[in-house]
Amino acid sequence: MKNKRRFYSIFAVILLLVLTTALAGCGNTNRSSGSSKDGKVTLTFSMWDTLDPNKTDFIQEFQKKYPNIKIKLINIPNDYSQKIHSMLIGGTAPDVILSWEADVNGFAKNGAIDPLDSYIKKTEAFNMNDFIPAVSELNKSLESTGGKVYGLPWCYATEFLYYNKDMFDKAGVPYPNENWTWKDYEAAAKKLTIRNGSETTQWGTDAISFPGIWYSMAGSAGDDIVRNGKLDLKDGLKKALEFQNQLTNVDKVSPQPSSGGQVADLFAAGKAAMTRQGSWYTLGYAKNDFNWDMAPLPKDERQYASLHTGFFTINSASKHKAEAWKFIEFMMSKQGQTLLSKQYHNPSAEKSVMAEGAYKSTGEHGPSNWDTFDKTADAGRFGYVLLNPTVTDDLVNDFNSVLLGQKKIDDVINKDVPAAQKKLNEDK
Amino acid sequence: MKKGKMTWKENLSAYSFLSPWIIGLILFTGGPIIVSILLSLCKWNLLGSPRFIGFANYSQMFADSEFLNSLKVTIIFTIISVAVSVFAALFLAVLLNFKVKFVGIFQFFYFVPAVMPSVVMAFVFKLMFNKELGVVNYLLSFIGIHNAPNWLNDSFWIWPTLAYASIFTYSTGQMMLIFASSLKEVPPELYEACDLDGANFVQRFIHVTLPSISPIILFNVVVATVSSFNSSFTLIYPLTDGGPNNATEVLSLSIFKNAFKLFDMGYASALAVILFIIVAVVAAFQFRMSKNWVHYDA
Amino acid sequence: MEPVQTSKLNSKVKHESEVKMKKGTGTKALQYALLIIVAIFMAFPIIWIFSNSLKTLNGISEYPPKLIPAHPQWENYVEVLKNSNTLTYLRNSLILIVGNTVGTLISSAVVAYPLARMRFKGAGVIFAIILATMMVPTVTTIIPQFLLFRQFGWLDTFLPLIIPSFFAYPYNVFLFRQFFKTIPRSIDESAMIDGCNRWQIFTKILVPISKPIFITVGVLSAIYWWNELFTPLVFINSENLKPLTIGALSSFKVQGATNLTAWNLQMAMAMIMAIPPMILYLFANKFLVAGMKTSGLKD
Repeated sequence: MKNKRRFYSIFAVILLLVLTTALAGCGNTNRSSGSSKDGKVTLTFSMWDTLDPNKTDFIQEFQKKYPNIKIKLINIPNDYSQKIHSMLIGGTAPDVILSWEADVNGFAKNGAIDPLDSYIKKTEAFNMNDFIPAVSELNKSLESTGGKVYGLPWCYATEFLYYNKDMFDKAGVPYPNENWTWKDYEAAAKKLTIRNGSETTQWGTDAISFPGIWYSMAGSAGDDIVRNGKLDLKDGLKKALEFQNQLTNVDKVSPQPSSGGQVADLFAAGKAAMTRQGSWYTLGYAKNDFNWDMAPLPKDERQYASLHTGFFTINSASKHKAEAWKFIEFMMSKQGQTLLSKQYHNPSAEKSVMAEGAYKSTGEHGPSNWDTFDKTADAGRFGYVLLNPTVTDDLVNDFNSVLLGQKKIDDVINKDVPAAQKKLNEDK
Repeated sequence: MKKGKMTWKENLSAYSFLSPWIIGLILFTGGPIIVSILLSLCKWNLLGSPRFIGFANYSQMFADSEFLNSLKVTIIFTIISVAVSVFAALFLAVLLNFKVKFVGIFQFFYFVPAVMPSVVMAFVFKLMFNKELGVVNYLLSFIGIHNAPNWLNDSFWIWPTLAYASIFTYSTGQMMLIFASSLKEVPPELYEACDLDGANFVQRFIHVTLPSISPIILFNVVVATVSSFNSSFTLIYPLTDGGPNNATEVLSLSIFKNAFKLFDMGYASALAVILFIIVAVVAAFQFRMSKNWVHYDA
Repeated sequence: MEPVQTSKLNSKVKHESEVKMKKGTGTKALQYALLIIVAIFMAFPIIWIFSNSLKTLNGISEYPPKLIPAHPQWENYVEVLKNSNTLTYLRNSLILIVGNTVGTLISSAVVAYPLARMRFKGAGVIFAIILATMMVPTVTTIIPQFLLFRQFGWLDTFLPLIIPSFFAYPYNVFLFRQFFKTIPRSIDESAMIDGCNRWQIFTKILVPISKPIFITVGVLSAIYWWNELFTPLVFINSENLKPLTIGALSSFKVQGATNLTAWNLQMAMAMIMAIPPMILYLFANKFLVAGMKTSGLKD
C-alpha cells in the first residue's frame, strides 16, 4: 500500500513538473518582450542570419550604451519572410523586425509596422539625404502609403563574380574585369574546366545557388524584371536560360543544380574556378585557402546586378516602441553602421559611412577589388526582391528544371511566368 | 430492477473513463475535420474573416495540374514506401529469426536507423546521393558505372532514392519488430511437418511461414499505409522539399505550403479534405480485405 | 536379425544427422554472411554520418570521398556542444517527450480500460470510431488545430504539442486495450466482490501489473517525439523553444551564407542526436519485443 502511494506521489510530482515546464515554455514566448521589475526591458529583434548574441559586437555595444535594454535575438534562417508573416498573424512577432524589401509595403498597408517619420525628425544620428541613390528611390517608392517612411536600410548588398586566382594563373587565363561579357565568361570557363576521364575534377564555374543571379542575368539581357509592380520576364529570361543551359549541358563547365538545398560551395572547396554569388560572401570566402578576388557580374546587353537590403521596422504591436527606436537609431548611427559593416562586410547604405570603408576586410588570400562595390552599385537595381519571395523562389525552381532537362525554355516563359504573375496578383 | 441500475451505473462509469477521449475527439479530431470541411468552402488568409466561396476551391483544385500531379505523386509514394517498408521489415525479421548467436547485436544494427530522426537521415542521404560528391556514385564508379544519375534531381531516379530512404524509417523498424515476434509464434509442428516432406527453405517460407503470419502482414500494411501519409512529410520535406520540379510534391507537403507559406487557408483545407477522403477510402478498403484480424466486442 | 536392422537404422540416423550437421554448418555460414552484409547496409548511413562529422567543411566536398578523414576534427563535437542552442534544443525535445509520454500513458490507459473490461452501451461503436480516427493523418487536422490554438493564444508554446496527448491517442489506446485483454477477468471480479469500484480496480490492480505495456508505449512515444518534425514546425517559431528536429534543420549555417549549411557540424549534431535513442533502445529492447507480442493481433 505504502509503495503504491509512493508511486502515485512521485507520479504526481512528475506530472506537476511537466506541467510547470510546459507552462514555463508558454510564458517564455516572445509575444511581447518582457520588462522585469528592475526596469530592464527585453527587446526582441529578428533577422535571418545565425548569430551568437554574446559574440556579436553591435548587440554588445548597444547593450553597453543602454544598460537597461537587453536584446533577444530571434534567429530564423529558413523561410524568413513566411515565418515573420506567421508570427505577425499569431501575435508573436518581435519588436524590431528586419524586414525583407518585398514585405515592407505589405506590412505597412496592413498596419503591422509603424511609420518612423516622427522618430526620424528628432534624431541626429543620421541624415535621410545620406543614402545611396537606389535606396533613396526605394524609400520614396515605399512611401506610397501616405508618404511615410516605414523602414530604414540596415546595409546594402549586391552580387559579384568571384574567381580563384591560382586556377586562373595555372591555366594562363587573364582575370575577369568589369568589361567582361557573357562570351568572355563562357570562354574562360571552358579553359578552366579540367576533366579526368568522365569525371570533372575542376569546374569552370559553379552552379547558380542564389536566386538573385538568375534575375540579374535576365536583367542583364534586357528584361526589367519588375515593371509597375508586375513581372517583366521575356526575352531576357529566354537568353539567360539558353546561356545557362549552354554552360551546364553543352559546354559542361558548370555542374547541375541541386534541389532541396545546396550541399557544397564548390568554389570555396577549391573545385570551381568561378562562382556568382551575393556580395556578402566576401565574409565567408575570407577563409579560403587559395588566392581569390572579385569582379562585377559579366554583362550581356547591359550591366545589371540585383541590390539587396533589409529594413529595420517597428512592430506596431510592440510594447516597447521607444526602446525599439533607440535600437534602430543606434544601428543607423555611424557607430552601429560601422559595427554592422565590420560584421558582415556589407557596405552601409549611408554614403558617409560607406566611404570610410569599414566593410572592407581583406583576408589572407584576398580580395582586393573593393571598388567592385562601387562599379556594381551604379548598375544595381532593386528588382525581383520587391516581389513575394515564395513566388520568385518557386520560379527559380522552374529555371533549374530546364537545366535538369525536365522542362523546355518556352514552357517556362509561356506557362510558368504567367502562372507566377497570377499568384502575385492573388496575393493582393 | 437491480440489473437495470447496475447497467446504468456501468455505463456511467465507462463513459467517465472515456471522457478524456471524447473531449479530445471533439477538440482535436472530429471537430477539426468538420472545421476543415467548412474552411474548404471559404477563402481566407488569416487576416479579416473567411469569405464563403462555395466549391470554388475544389474546382480550382481539379483544374490545377499541380494538384493532379500531387495526387499522382502521393499515390506513387505511398505504394512504393509501403511495399518497400513491409518487404524490408519482413526480410530483416526473417534474418533475425535465424538460429544464430549474437542475434541481439544484429537486431540492434537493424533497428538503429529507425530511431534516428528523419531530418538527420535526410541530411546524410543528401550527401550520399549528391551527383558530384556523393559516396553512392563513387562506389558505382567501381563497378564501371561512370555516368551515374543525379539521384536527387532527376524526376525518375528520385524514386529509387526515396525507396532506399524508406528502409531506414521508424515505420520499417517497428514493423520489423512485430514481424520478428510473430515469426517466433509460428507453431514449430508446422515446420516439422514440412521438413519431413523434404522441403527447402523457400518452400517452407511460402507454404508455412507466410500463411501463418498473414494477419500480421495485413495489419502492418494498413498501419504502414496510414503512417506513410504522415511520414511522407517528415521524409520528403528535409530531403527534396517537393523537388525536383514538384516530382515529389506529396499532398501533405502541398497542404503545409499552401497553409503556412502562402496562407491560403481555404485551399489548403480543401486539399486536406481530399487527403482525408483518400485515407478513409484506402482504410475502408483494407478493412474490408482483413475482416479476419479485428474483432469488435459487442 | 534384429541387431543388424537396428544397427542399419542407427547408421541411417547417424548418416542423416551427419548430413544435417554438414548442411547445418554450410547454412550457418551463409546465414552469418547474409546477416553481416545486411548489417553493413543498414548501418552504412550512420557510419557515413560519423565519418562526415569528423571532416572540415571543405573536406566534405572532397572527391573521392574518404571514409576516414586524414585529420579527424573532434573539435566539431566541441563546437556543437558549446553552441548554446544545442542544449536548448535538447532540453526542448526532452520537455516534449516527457510531457507527451506522461499524458499519453495516463489518458490512453484510462480510455482503454472500459474498452477492454466493461460491457456498456455503445462499446462497439466507440471502439470502431477509435480505430477509424487512427486513420486520420495529422496533416488533415492541423489547420483547424492551428486556428484553435491561435484562439487560445497558445501559438509558439509547447501547449499545442503536449495537451492533446492528455486526451488519448487512438494507437496507444489500441495497444493498451490489447494488453488489458490478456489479463484474466477473474482478477477484476474477485476485486469487485471485495467491494472495489471500477476506478480502484483500475488503479490498484490493473495498472501495477501492466508495467510491460506502460514501458512499451512509453518508449514508443519517446522515440516518436524525438523524431517529430511536422507539428513543432507548425506551432513553434521562437529559437528557445525549438526541439532538436527543427533546430537541426537550420542551426548550423555558415555565417553570411545563409543557404549553405555547415555540414560537418550538422553531422556532429546528428551523431549526438542519435545517441539517446540508441541508449533507450538498448535498455528497453526486451520490453519492446514483449509489448509487441502481446499486442498480438491474433485476436
